[in-house]
Amino acid sequence: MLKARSLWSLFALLAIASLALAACGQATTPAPQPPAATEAPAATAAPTATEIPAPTATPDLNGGELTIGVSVEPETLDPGDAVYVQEQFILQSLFDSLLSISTDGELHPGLATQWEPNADYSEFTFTLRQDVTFHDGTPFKADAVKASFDHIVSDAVLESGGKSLLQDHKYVETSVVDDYTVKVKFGGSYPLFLRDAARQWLAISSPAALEKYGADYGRNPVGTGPFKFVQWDAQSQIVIERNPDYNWAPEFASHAGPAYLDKVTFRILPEAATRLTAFETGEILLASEPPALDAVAMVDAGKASLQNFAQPGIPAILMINATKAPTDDINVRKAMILAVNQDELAKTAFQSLGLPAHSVISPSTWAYDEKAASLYSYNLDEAKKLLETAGWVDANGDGIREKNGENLTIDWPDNPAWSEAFNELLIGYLANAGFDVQYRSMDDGAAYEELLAGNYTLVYMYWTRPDPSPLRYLFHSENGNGGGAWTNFVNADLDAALADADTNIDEAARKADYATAQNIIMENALVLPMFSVNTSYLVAPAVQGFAFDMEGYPQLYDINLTK
Amino acid sequence: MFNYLVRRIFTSILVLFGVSILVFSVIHLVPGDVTMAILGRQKVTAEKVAALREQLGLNDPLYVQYGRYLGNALHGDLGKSIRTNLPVAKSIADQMPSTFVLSMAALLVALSIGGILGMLAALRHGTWLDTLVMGLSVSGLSIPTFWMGLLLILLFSVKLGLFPSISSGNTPAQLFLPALTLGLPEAAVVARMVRASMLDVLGREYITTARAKGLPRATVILKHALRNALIPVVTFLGLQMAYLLGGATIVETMFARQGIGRLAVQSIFNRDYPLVQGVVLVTATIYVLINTLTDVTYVLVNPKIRLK
Repeated sequence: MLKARSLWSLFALLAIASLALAACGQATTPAPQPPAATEAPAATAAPTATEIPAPTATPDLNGGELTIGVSVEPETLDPGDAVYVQEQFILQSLFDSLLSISTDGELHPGLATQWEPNADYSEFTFTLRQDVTFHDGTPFKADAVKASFDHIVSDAVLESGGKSLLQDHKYVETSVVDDYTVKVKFGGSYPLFLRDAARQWLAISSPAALEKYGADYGRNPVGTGPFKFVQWDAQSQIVIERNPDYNWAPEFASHAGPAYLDKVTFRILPEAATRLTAFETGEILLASEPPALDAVAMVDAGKASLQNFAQPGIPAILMINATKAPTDDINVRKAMILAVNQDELAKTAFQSLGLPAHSVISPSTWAYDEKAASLYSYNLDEAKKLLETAGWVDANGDGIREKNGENLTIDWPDNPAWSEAFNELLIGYLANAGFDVQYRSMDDGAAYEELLAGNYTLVYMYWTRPDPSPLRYLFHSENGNGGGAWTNFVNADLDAALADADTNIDEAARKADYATAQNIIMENALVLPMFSVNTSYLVAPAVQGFAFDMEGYPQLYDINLTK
Repeated sequence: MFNYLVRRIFTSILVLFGVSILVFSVIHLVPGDVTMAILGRQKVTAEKVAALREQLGLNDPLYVQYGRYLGNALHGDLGKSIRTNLPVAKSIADQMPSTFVLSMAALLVALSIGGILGMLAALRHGTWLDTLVMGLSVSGLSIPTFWMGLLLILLFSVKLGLFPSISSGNTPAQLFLPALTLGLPEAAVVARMVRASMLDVLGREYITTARAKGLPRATVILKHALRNALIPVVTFLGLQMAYLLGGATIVETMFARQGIGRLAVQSIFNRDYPLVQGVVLVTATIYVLINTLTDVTYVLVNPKIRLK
């Protein structure tokens, strides 16, 4: 009896509690922000993708809280340990670097007011600002620069963007000259260091915090940026708030002093559909990587603007193995490029967001060479002719060309996560010219073993970077045998140009080197260019002052919200 | 009784032992070399691979590796995530409360909605109400969780703007839609069980007696009939906890909630093998624990089983 009674009371309790739950739910309903954001009256004018109103033209700005839907959770917020795009987007609000770069590519002061390279660009002396404090109250001085750079090259960091920048250029040491003067020394010329010193990867951390948190620093970042780190709930959100003391914004920012926004929440929403719904309900005001079709529909309906940025660096390309049959024949490689209609491919796979690529670096990259990009344009007949010249004909009429009894087979071991959206389309184009593309879907680890064993014709690659420096990793023969130079193509002129481009202190000479490299790569048909990789955001009309920085990260410092 | 308990606990340990071997093997079943998956694609050198293999202890004989894995796991050390370098045990512990709260809330939804509807159907047996409830119940069982969730989001978030479509917190408003999505299919089952059980109980002689004594109808139903009818339902729900853990995976992903289910999905997508291993091991342990407890409780309650 007692058992039955307690069961009954349990049920009663549960029932009451659930009713209360439902009632509470009804009572405290307005969890999603009122949809005012998505239904702003025409008078306040929704900005379109291309026209962003100047801050002065928008009254009723009131800071407020901005929630951003991001697709990938960062791995760390330690700039020295970071690698990926999703990290840098957040880091740029939390940290400052020694220098800064405006969208036109010009260098400007950052935490350093002056900089002076020595004659061969292997030693750099920085004069630092004297009015900067870290979020934890530590004053910013030369020892912070030393601590940050030494941390990056220490064993505490296994592998990171900053670590490869410093180590690849033979980082020797950072020495403190006086409280506000610091000298960074490398074992060779590193002309790009001044630009790299402006990147998030080499941002400056609080030496006190590095010491205090040790291995947990990546979850407790302390910088000097316009926003302070508040909390990180794994799989849920990262919250940052305005740094009220901030008074050292780059000179090209559209305002000075603290940021407008009180608080920014990066909501981690891996599902594109979830991001889109949350954007529709007004729960997030910025959505990263919206699905192309829905994004365009929303813009057409006047509910949002779409901001799109073609990332500089290596666009999405397929590196072609130049030492393995059948692509050891340059005519076969050229035929592959000619057989693919890049313009159509980009439009079909990514709607209006797609930007075709025609060269080994994308048009927004410094030192982009027009000539190299104009060598090929879609021409199926020409492709077929080249293949026939090379001896590949379809004798048995099965649609696949043969030569000496062998099919024209293209072997593509790949992780479909990288290339899902377009590989079917691409295979279709190649099949039209008589190629037999064997797409072998596998895990990254397995794909890498196939590459090491030489069992491949194609390797998918892209690499975001404001300058063409990844070309050295991908095409200099020193990086063959698993180092990243998957085409296996060896050419003394190419090697010389890439090596010189990395160390020559004369910018015009480096630009010429990169032009040479692009032309050699394209003339030898070493890559099949596909499309530029985009950063895109759906932006609610309430968001004012949205702009990308030169690497394609939205600048939160200048963003404001209308009431 | 004592023998039964010992036997039951022994088999549970055996199952967990098997699970640990399977989980341990995952890292060796990965196509290719796991170090490649860890290092990624760019600039991998033979020295780096060798150093990492050494660091992960992959050069030791398998039984040594397994022994080390089991020993560490028993001390609560499940290794470190490849992606974040955080301890796996901590990552799991961070996500656990959210899944637990969601499961409990879904259980509430199942019991309250299912219980009330089932009772009404039994009391109005053979009427349109009965048919309606049974029809709803079939729909509730047939609609997949992800579809139900989408419909609920469309109605309550997009159209009515009442509840958030993304919800990581545990306030009633944030829990409402996820709990409803996860709980409704359960409610459908509960409604059917309560109805059948109530019909059975209502036909018993002690109910006739209670009525004959002139007790008010409400007293007869609530005090005498319902509480007896609920006993099999509650047993059933205990067993359903495991289902809720599984269903939480979809619901957590859909509403972008924190939780162990979403952690499992993300770690698989990220090929974060130590994390996958940890989540599988912990989930399997919980599953085995719940089953063992249910069995043991059942034996305590029902002496007939002990004889087997």
